[in-house]
Amino acid sequence: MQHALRLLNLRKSFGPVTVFDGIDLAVAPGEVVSLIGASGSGKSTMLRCINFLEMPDSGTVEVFDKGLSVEAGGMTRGQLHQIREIRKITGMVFQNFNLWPHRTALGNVTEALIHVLGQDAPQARDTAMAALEKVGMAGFANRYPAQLSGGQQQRVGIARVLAMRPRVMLFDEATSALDPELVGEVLKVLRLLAQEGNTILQVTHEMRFAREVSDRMVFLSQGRILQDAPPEELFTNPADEAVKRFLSGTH
Amino acid sequence: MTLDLELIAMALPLLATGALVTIKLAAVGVGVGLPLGLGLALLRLAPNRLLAGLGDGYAGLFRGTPMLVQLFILYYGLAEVPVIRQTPALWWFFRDALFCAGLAVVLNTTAYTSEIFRTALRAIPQGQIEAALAVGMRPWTLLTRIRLPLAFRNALPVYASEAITVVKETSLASTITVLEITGQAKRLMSQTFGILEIFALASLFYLVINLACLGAFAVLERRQARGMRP
Ligand SMILES: Nc1ncnc2c1ncn2[C@@H]1O[C@H](COP(=O)(O)OP(=O)(O)OP(=O)(O)O)[C@@H](O)[C@H]1O
Ligand SMILES: [Mg+2]
Repeated sequence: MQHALRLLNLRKSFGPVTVFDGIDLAVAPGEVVSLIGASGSGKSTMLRCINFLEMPDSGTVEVFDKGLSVEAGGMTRGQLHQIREIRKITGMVFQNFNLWPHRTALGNVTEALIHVLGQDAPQARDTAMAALEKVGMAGFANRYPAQLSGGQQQRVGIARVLAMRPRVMLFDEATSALDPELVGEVLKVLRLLAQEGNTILQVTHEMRFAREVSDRMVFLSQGRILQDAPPEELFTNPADEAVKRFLSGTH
Repeated sequence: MTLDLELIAMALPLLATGALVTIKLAAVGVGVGLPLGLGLALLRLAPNRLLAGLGDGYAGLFRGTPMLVQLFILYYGLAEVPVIRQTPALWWFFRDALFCAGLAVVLNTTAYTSEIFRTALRAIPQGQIEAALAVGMRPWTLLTRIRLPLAFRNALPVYASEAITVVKETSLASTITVLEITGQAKRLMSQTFGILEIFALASLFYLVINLACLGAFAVLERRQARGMRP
């Protein structure tokens, strides 16, 4: 079976701090996998290594048929090209939305359609409006990010990713920066994406949500995967004392 | 004191001619200095230490020395260098006070402009850059579509001040015989006794140019701020 995403022997450290020292993970097409673990356990770093916002020290990242192995030493031109190819088929939603403030909601979505995928303006507009429609933001297409609430901004952030038709979606705590009353509207969109068969790797602190939508939950601790199991199994049968403590702490 | 209308009638056309030269010098300063300053800002932010160091060195040199001294070096100093006198293209350029003044203005404003845009480029939140990288943007697209537009928005109010500084600095060109506003005023001063009137008029010319300039920037700013306010 072809993997949607595969990490092989991924290593990453920041100076003296080793985040992970040889991690393996595979995600099948259509699978929804949630990464959980304590603060500082390396969840964000792992996600960011997949689209090379963080450069792994070594190891292999494969997203469908695009793959890149990193060894010590600088990047070659070919590798930079490979990185862009991987980025084009992965979509990342950020904790802090990271919308471009000089572009409207619509502009934020069309930007990469036009300037990365090379769509013409009318086509990009249609694609973008469809994506905004899907996240319930079509009525706000001409608003600037500063004129939107956090939940609305995040939904635009999701539309920006959606419009690119990524083959793997990466969500890094998509609801953590939101006021509690705004979390629901974003979770609703994420739930829809999960149910539609998208391949998703998400970092989340919303345990109830993770349990509901995930096919697997992966518990990370000090750069190691302590448990990788379907939610029910993880919740009923934590493999490790650390997992148990983490789960009891978040309920 | 009564206003000497005859004096004003004589001074006005001459000062207006000077104003055209002032505007020309300032336009060259902004028109050439802005792109060069942007380029220099990018150079100073380059990952390559040597390139960044060269850029920093340039900016330090021109920000750290008076423009009047630079003008004298360009116009009087270089004229004593044999290579320059003997190379027709160079001599054609450096013999001309207006060209030297234009060059000095550009060299100066490039240094200051690079400082403004270096700060503005660095102030862009890293997350917005990462969002662009994460969708697969190439460095050039990232620069033209995201980094420069955002830097312009950050920098515009400060750059407006730089632009009117350029207008005012062109008055130094009068010291190397260029007849811009101040140069014309000095000439009139030696021919008449209405020193106060003449320089008051000259000030008025500068003021009008600068207010127009600030007005233009305010319009730009308002346009760019559209939607960016919470
Ligand atoms: N740019 C960086 N420079 C230095 N150290 C870093 C950097 N980014 C992350 N780290 C360190 O790497 C480790 C893993 O961080 P990471 O952000 O991946 O954790 P996380 O699991 O996402 O935590 P959280 O739940 O708080 O978001 C931490 O010890 C962190 O301090
Ligand atoms: Mg994190």
